[in-house]
Amino acid sequence: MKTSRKVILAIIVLVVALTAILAACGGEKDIAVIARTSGSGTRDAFESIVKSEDGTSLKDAGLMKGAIEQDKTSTVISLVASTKTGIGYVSLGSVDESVKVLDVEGVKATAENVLNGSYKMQRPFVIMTNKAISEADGLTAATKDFIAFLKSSQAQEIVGEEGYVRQDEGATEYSAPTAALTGTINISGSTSVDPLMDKLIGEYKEIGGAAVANVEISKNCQGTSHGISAVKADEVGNVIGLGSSAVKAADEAQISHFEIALDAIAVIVNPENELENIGIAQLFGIYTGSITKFSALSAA
Amino acid sequence: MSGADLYYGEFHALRNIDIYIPAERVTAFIGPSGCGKTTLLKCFNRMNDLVPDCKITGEFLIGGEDIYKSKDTASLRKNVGMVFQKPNPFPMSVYDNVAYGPRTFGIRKRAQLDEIVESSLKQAAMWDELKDRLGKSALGLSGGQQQRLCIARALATSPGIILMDEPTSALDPISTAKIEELIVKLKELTTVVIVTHNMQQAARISDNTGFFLLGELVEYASTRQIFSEPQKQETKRYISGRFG
Amino acid sequence: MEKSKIKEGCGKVFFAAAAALCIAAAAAIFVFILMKSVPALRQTGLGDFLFGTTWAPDPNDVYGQTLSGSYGVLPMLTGTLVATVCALAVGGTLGFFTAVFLAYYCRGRIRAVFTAVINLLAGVPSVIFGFFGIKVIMPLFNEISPNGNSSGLLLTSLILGMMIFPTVASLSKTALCSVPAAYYEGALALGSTRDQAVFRTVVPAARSGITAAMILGVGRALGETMAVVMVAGNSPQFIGGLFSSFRTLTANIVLEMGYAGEVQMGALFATGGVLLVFVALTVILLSLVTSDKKTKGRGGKKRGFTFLFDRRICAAGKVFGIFCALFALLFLSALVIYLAIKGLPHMSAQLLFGAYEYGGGISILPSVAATLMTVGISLVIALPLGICAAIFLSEYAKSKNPLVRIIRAAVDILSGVPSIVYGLFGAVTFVTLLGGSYSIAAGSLTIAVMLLPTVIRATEESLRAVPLSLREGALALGAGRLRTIFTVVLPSALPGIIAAAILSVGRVMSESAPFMFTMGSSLQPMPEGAMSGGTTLAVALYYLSGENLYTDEAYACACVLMLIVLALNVAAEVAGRALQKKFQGEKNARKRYKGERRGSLLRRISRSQEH
Repeated sequence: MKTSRKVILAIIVLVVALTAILAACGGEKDIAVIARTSGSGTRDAFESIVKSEDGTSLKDAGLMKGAIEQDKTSTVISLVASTKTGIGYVSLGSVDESVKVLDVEGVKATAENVLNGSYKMQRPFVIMTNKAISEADGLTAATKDFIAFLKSSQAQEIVGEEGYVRQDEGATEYSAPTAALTGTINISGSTSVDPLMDKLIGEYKEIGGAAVANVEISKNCQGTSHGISAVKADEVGNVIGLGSSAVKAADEAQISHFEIALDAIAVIVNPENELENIGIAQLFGIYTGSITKFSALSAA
Repeated sequence: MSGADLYYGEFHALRNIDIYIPAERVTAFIGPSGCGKTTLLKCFNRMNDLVPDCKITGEFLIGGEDIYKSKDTASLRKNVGMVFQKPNPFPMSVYDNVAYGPRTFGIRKRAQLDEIVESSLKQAAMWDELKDRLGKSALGLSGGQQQRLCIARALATSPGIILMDEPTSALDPISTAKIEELIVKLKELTTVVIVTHNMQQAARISDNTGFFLLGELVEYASTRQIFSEPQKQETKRYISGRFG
Repeated sequence: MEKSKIKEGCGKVFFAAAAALCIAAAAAIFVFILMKSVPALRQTGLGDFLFGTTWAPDPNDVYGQTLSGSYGVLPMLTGTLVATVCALAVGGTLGFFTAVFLAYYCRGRIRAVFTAVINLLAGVPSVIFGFFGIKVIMPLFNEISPNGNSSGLLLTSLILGMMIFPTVASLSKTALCSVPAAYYEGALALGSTRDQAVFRTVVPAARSGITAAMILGVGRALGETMAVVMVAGNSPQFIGGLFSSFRTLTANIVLEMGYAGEVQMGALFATGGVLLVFVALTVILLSLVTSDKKTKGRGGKKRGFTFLFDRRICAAGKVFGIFCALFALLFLSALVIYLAIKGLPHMSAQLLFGAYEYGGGISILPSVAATLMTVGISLVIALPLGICAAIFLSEYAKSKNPLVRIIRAAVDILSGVPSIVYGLFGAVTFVTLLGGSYSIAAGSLTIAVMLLPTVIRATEESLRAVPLSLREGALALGAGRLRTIFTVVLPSALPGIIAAAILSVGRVMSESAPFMFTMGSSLQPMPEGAMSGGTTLAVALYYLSGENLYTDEAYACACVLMLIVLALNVAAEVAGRALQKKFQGEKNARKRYKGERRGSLLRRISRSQEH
């Protein structure tokens, strides 16, 4: 018994010592780069905006090897919150007090700065429908009515309330249809737009009242590209896609779209990080792996 | 029964057995383990059909009819009841256990079933013990009671023959005595064929005894003769306990 | 009499058909997954796919044109293998020593407590494991990681290890308990210490059972998805160290499925195909190990390990066993306490019972309804089919028949297929069949296929435990086979069948991967019928935690799930006790026969997985 106790004691001491050595040798730790998975609208927008000084976008340069990739906003936030040297990006609307939002190029991430264009890290939330069907006026009555609501000033009220940047231009007053509508509307696409869409559907049901009570809205959000393919495959005229980055030129031929809101992409770090501001070229350096320490940023 | 051979796959388990079992008597099969007694017993109600690779040749006649000619094992087994080595009451009430056989053969009327259950239990001399516990689980009974219940269960289809495969080997002496008493009473109603390892038991209750060795019927005669003046040397040695 | 002949014949054909359905299901999974992956493989080339070192898919790639993305799964393949081996090192060691401790060094209350711990851990949904991993364990590990974040191999191995721990522990314990007590007593009688008797005599005798437990653990680790996604870091590169971000095959599917373009989609199905091949290999390995049972056990090669016979080393093994069991207890309590602290305060009436409104309050009531519907539909399908197939296997099938062997292999493969692959399968079959949109019906069908092997094994095992003498008794009374099965055999096997049902309910509750591509993953209002989409509680938990807006609700949802898992465990135990009382006499006999110490239902089921 005594010997076995000694053995166990020895093992414990060894583990503790190893830990201490590892921690001590570390000095300043590397930046833990946290990204979204490819295909995410947020990542798409982020990688298009972040450019090096000579104008190469992060998208073309490619994300560094060994970055942590997560498929959910919340995981990105949790990881940054628990990692002192972590950096990540998420929709501004999702940020909570567990992380710190950095200024980008000296500009704070606020609605005004997004609207006046001074905050560069921004992307539109787009509503997409099948182009061929829309132009042939083939959307179902319920879908058309819902789209009319999405384009309305009431919808923009919600957009503002939820902390996104309003796109009031061209917004009209929506009023409930005179005749009762029926049918199903299928919504799919960006997970970032999902929470906003939730509130919008609620408001629609409220304003529309009895006239839209029988309109069934089925929503399943698994990512922007999923929404795009659902819209392209639409045959009935009742699919609405949600996108969290600008529609690509290649898709323009098949997709009608409009922007419902602007969203800021917040660059987040751990609250213990002393950094307050970051440049876009620096972000490029971090995400391509050429900058590996936060101390390198403050020195520059 | 004449000229019966039975194979389990390659193994020749019974060799050319000729035996006549008289009605309304108790016939005992004795012999060392693995000599084929139980196998032979199971031939009478075709329980060997369940064993894969089991091949049987020869004639098994019950009342002049070859039981392996007919396809109808169900009515054969109705007529030839069986009691096993270990008590195997079904996990249901006493009543349902006894009524299982009759129900299998389509008797559904409650009154009729009541009657059968009562008479079977009376024949097995259990009615007085169990009449207040008919609805209780049969698994709550003692081992001896369970075995007698199994006999009652077999009696419920009013069989002409009852096969017993070492029915008392798992029981204590008192339960054994009760069952032996029961067997002696039963021969007024049916033919009983019993396999036993207990030679005293065979001597006590049977009218005829057959001695088996290595799949062969060595000697078959009245019990008194087997035990007092056996004709064959092997029989003599076996019952005097010198081998086996 | 003719009529009964026909009835018997029909019965047999029916049972056989149910069993054959398992072959069909296993075949269908292979066919559909391969069918979907062949075009992509043709485009990329099988060699480049398997041995390519870069995974950088381009969603715009379509068939027939030059590819701009690269599709090489080698980094993920190695990632999966290394993670599985490491998880086995953690979970296998913990599980084995805990099993030894449970089987030989504790009794009564303590044993009951630890058995409950293992059962509970087995029921924890993987989403919760992942959640716990990033919220509680990751911050601890971050301190020793060179880049300040510990996503990667070490964390993944620990979490995966804890996930396979209950499987390994309970199966090893069964194997240890079924070693005849005479071995142990014999060793003691020769002057061994208790520890030596256990480690030198009992453990080697139980070796094949323990190996089988380990291999099943490997299967579980290979197929695990939702927890791994959260803790592995997911960068599609080779593993570079304990703390470097890496991606597994399963994670690859769940991460990219939602975004995938044409070729990419095919490549993801091919990823599923690779997983399937691994599962098939595991199953073959397992069958080799278990069929070796007789020839093994006379190890002549053990000579090098004589130092293991040392008294003190065996004693150390005992201490380590206690340590492992305590570690498992600690882990579970940390998990439960953490969830309770974070979740219980947020269990509001609105969340639990409120109506779900778009834009209004979040409610998990629709998810509860969707879960119940899924449980209902899948059990209605899987239970009868599974029971019939089990009846065929245990009552009719002859073990030498090649068809029966194929059926058994099919059942084994089905039970090893990763749940994410079931998800893919459901997405291409049931979703398409049912009109192309996500629905509760499609999800239920998918999970029903997934439940089949569990139900079959559990039922078959309890059917086999019914003593032959009962069947003989009924047959000797002239009952036909069908009547024997339905009136005598099935009622006696009822406790096991009920346990199988409870186990299945638990499985439906805790799975999430098979539902995401078949039922949908967004929280929705009350489902209107089987054809509307919905989310089960586990998926709702995943969704709620998604955008960081409903974190409190997510914790509360996790609490609800854990409470249900707990309730199911209690229900299993209570049902087991009640039925045991009812069949007491018979049970006692069986217990003695099997050398079992306590007739717990779940243990019988877990034993069934050994086969």
